[in-house]
Amino acid sequence: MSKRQLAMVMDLNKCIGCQTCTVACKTQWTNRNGRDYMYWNNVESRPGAGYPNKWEEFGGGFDQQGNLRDGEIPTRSKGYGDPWDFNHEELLHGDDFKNKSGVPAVGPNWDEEVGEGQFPNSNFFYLPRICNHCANPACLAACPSGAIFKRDQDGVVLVDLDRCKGQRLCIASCPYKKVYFNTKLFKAEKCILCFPRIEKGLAPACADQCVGRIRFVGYLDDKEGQVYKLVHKYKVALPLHADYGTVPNIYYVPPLKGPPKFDGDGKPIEGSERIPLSYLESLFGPDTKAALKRLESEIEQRKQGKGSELLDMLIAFKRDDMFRLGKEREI
Amino acid sequence: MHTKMTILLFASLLLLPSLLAAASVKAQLRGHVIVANSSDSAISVLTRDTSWVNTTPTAITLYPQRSIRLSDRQANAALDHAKPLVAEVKVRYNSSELVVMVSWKDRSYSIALEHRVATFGDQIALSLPLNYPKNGVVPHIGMGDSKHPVALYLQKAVKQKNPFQQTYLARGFGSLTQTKKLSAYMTMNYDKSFGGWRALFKLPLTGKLKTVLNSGLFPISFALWNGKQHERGGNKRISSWHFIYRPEREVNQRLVKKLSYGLATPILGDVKEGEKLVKTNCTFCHRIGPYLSTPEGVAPNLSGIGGVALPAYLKESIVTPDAIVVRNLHLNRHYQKGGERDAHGAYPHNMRYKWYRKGKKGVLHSNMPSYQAILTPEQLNSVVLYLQQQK
Ligand code: HEC
Repeated sequence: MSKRQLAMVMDLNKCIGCQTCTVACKTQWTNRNGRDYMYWNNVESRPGAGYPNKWEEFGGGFDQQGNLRDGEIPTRSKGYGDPWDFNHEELLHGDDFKNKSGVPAVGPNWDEEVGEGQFPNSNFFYLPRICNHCANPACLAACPSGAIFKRDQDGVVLVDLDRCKGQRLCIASCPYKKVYFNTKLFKAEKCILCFPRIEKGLAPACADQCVGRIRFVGYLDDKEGQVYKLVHKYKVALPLHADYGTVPNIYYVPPLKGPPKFDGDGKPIEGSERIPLSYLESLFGPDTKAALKRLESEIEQRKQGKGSELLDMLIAFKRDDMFRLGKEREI
Repeated sequence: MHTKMTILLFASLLLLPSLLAAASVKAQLRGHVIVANSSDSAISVLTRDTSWVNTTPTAITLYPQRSIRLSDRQANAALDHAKPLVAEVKVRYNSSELVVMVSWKDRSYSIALEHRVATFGDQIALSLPLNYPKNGVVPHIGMGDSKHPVALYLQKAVKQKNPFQQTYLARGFGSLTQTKKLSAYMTMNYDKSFGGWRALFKLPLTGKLKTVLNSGLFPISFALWNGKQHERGGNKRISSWHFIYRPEREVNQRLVKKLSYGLATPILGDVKEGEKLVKTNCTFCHRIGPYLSTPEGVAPNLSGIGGVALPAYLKESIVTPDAIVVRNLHLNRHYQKGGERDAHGAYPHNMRYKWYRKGKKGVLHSNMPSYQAILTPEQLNSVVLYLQQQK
């Protein structure tokens, strides 16, 4: 739909869940004016309910035939989480829990690092999420007001607030639940991929400030760019829930196997899967296996002292190479 | 005594022509006329004022909007069981303004709350044509069409300092544009003892709608939203066009004549025959009644068409589909899975869901064929009769 498409790759093997991206985004865009509750960028622990709570159960996206599917809007209390006051008496002096606003049931990052399984065989990994700036955006398709558009020059999906009537069909139809309702302006708002920064040759705030250097940003048709290489040349970066049919443009390098599980005597179980492949496939699709295999073989190659362009990229040795925005930095 | 009788008789004779005219208009556009009451003085904006209580109401039926289907799961689930709703309308006017009051029952009082993302306020809207429909072609009921713009007055129950009130101009689905050029005084209050809302719209007889509002007979339609059922936007109940009649003004007879088809007298047709014809000719594109083999969105869903469209419009739609072209929703709602994807993997639109094409000078042409040469006049009547009964 757009002439060019900007994309991001996130290497999940390097994400340490520090939430620097979340804070970078929040302080830049969503700490005011009815956006206070929103996290355009969030980092959730998987397996887990994610944010908003159980977002994968709300429907939306496209069906097998390419028709828009119905979806639901999360609520504040059960989906995004209502703010609550900590009971300082309880926290500091061991008093009984008597929270006036009730016992909170969900909140952003509610199940952080809970993961799955029992120690020592538990597992989890971090999954940072922003708007996928899809090639076939369900939010854009669902909007009856024609208020959502995809920029020709970079494929960034934006809401025209003048046309938005606050009907929230975009929120119902976005299968990633990455469109939010501004409760003060009564309009829909979402991640803008920091387009004002992009236009000045700067990476989005979440990517720029990532301490783990997990995020690569560039145009999908830029064959010299690392994004292109990770997605198309080495095929190790995969979209999240391609099954939702929106052709998303945020790609993930899936987490490697991790250490084996342990038996009752604390001995490693040969060939065991700590993070089951089937779980990763449920997120990143059937190409996950091939992507992991490629990564493993490149690691093996490297161990033998041979070169690997792929690993050199993933290690992010030269930070400037991670962002190719076709423009000199203006700031 | 004798003189008094004479005077009375004389007076009623003077009144007779206008009474007759009223009876005639009401008969011609049966069930679709709202008689406006004139007033010499200022009109109260308090809905409980005795002047309003004493005004005779006209009952209007609003039907669930089914022509297009949006994508909210909860709203659609409610829509599948939605029933028609009856509202009471009262219209009064004086030399400077026309006031429309609408009352409707709604036990599930709902307001859009601040800090809540999934609450929806009850809403009401009035729609009027921007230009007087001299030739009897009224705008499409779905917020107008490319040739016939409408003015919209909307009120929504919102928990804010000011209730949400807005005016728009529109030329069909998705074209709603906020405007400051329409002025109106509006109120919307929940009446607990009544168990519903009372909304009032005071429209000045000057400005953009001057010609329309000052004519003897002009179209108006209504829309209501039940917030509790997640209704908003296209998920709503709408009335067909009704006509406000101002007895002291001249009535455009051409409009009356054109729109009286199927209202003044029942259509002479055979419903069974109509259904058969619809089944064989129309259900490849349209969903209607029990005929649901075509996916939603290929053409307007006709399942509720009888409740919201006038018979004259139904006939015209079949004979000259280009006269009023209904706009489809965003084409990207349906993409072609087998189609050639672009450089970034985007699927192309599925053109089966496109309802019109653009001709010279941007004139829209319907993708529906004309049935003028296919159906006999008798068959056409039968088809319209069948459509008229789909409510
Ligand atoms: C080739 C597909 C096709 C066929 C066949 C078809 N229609 Fe349509 N029809 C459309 C499309 C597309 C529209 C919307 C564009 C327009 O306004 O004409 C439409 C619009 C209408 C409307 C106006 C609906 C509204 O919501 O205002 C009516 C009424 C209608 N058709 C009736 C019929 C009847 C009756 C038949 C069979 C005799 C029929 N159509 C056959 C495609 C079709």
